[in-house]
Amino acid sequence: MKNPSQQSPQCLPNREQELELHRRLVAGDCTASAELAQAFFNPLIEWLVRHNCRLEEDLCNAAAVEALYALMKNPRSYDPCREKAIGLFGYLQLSAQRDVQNLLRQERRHQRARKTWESVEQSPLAEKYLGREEDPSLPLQRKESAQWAAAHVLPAVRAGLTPTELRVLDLLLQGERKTAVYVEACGLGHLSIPQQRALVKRLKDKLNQRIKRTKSGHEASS
Amino acid sequence: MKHPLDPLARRVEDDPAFLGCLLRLYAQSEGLAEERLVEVLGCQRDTLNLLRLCRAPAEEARAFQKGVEEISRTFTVHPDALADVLRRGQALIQLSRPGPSQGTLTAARDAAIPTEDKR
Repeated sequence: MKNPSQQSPQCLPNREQELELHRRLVAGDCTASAELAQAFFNPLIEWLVRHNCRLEEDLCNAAAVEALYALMKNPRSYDPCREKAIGLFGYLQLSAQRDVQNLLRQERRHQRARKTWESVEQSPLAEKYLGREEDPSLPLQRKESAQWAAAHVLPAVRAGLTPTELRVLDLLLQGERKTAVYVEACGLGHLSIPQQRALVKRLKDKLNQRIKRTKSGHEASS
Repeated sequence: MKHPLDPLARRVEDDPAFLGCLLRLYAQSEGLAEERLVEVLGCQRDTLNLLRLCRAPAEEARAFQKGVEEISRTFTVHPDALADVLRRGQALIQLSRPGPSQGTLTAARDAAIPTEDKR
């Protein structure tokens, strides 16, 4: 891997200044963390933006914040003897780049967990697609169907459910299929696996029936 | 107006190990906006973020005094005003903690504090 400090801006502290700043950080000097931020925050963001040109600048900003904050909190995480080759700015670059990856992973997880219209479409609430699969209007029909279900059916389905049933309903709407996720959401971890499966199935069946009944009622009245 | 170190300064505002947390608590307790806090401390607006990023001085009297003098000298802040602000912030952190020592107004550092009253 290319040594990141080779790409450092010219205005950064030199090696001696870096070492002195790090020594003061480790010694608990009150102003050292502010001076560290003043010296490295903007160069670090600039470097991250340059080296992650397809990412949004906000993400680079957040990664720079995390990398500097981590070093301010725990200055011994940088060992000038061990990391001699890269220097303090090089260490921050590596740390911030790792934070970029972590933030991207978090973002992907968040995207997966989001309750999207598509997941509502795939739920038992949405079955009334009239067109053929190749019908270009099908996505719009699905979207409208999902919106109708979310606006009219869901509130009625939710009414009167226990907190556990509400959690299961949310998982159903997200399209969750893993029994283990339902087991955790319902706090059934202490039961045997067959008992867990039976209880989860019973809950899901109950909710699916409730959804179908509510939906039929709304369709009949509209 | 946005300042270059704003995101990092905001990051330390919930961490009692940093001045940012103490300054925030003091400003909240007095109902001060940022501009007024700058006036109280006798510093420039650009200096405020650097102050927030300083480590909070230790609570012990001599170390506290040394820390306040060092910060005041480095960032041209009124030392008496800074000492008052920091002592108040430390006391508020102590008061916000549950447990037997609650209410003793002993200064404290390095633990999370509730953030529901954050602006």
